[in-house]
Amino acid sequence: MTRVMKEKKIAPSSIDPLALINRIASEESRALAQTFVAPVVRGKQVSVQVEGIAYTMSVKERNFEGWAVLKAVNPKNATVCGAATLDQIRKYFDLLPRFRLIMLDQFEQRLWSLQANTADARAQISGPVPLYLAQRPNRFETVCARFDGASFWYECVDRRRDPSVARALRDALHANIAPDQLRVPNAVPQEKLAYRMLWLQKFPDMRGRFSSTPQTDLQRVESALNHAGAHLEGMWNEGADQVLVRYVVDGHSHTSRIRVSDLTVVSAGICLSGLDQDFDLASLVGVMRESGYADEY
Amino acid sequence: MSTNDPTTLYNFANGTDSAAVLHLRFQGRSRDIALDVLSLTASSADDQVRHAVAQFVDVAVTDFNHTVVERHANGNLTLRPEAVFG
Repeated sequence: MTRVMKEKKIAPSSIDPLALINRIASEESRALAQTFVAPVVRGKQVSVQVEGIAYTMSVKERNFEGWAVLKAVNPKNATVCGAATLDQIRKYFDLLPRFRLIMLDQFEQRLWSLQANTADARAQISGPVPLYLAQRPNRFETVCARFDGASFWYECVDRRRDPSVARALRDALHANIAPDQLRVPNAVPQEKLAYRMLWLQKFPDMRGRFSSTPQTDLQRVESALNHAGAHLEGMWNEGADQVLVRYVVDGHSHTSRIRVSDLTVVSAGICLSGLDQDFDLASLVGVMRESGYADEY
Repeated sequence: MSTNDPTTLYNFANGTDSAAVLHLRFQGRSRDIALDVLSLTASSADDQVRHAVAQFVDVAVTDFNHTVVERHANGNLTLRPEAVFG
């Protein structure tokens, strides 16, 4: 015990604070003498981490926007040395996780989007997010973006997503088709939600239709799943007030039989000791998380 | 915040123009209660949640002894029975 206490007393005195400050100062001046690549958005500061030290700097060229090679003037300001090359941008992207986003529209001079896969647990996002440095993507288009922990940076159009879905949604919006009349094959729930948002932007008087409890069975099921961060993949009528619901929780697919009138669970799809009816669809999502069980149905 | 900002549109589109809600599943019945109404926030302690809900639905707090409070990324809460697996 005595020995431990001695060690504790000795440890702080072994650090020379002056030497530490000098080392950090020399690392800082060396790091700040180098150029670095960063995305620059008009009116926003750039963040850079060099040698483990994070800096937030204002960019001298206030009208510059895009990918830049920058050099620090001092720890609080940087200047643009030139545009970053595609190779430099690619290397920057390689450091960040990729997300798929559905494009909405421009609001207050920023482009906004919705996460395409709400079950993606890498970022706790619900609701719309701004997308920076986008190359004029179309509404409802699915794009790839990189997330640096604070902002989403446009990377490219998602070539895996069928562009005819976004086109059909744009045509439907142009034709003023109400969301409950929307029939676009292969449109996923997040795309339909994006459609509903832009339709409500176009027809603000209709917002009252959506501000109350959802009316259709499909909307009630979607709403129950969304409450707990799950999303619907499909729903099939089974007759006698029952539906089969296929849904995704944290990337795992599950199928459960639900009484449609009150969303009580008839059969969870996993063994709950015969107590399935203790739960409804919204509360079942958490049970699935707790079980860690991935249904392969 | 204008009524045309994306977050407002998102809430309207979701049919949730109110704040976060607590979903209660209790004795085979379900209901949604706005956290504001319960004077709760997403970060309220589990016992606070149980007390507030017990008061709201007018039952003894001990009736919620075998329940689980879940916190979701979107700020919603769920109060449900414990699950028994197997």
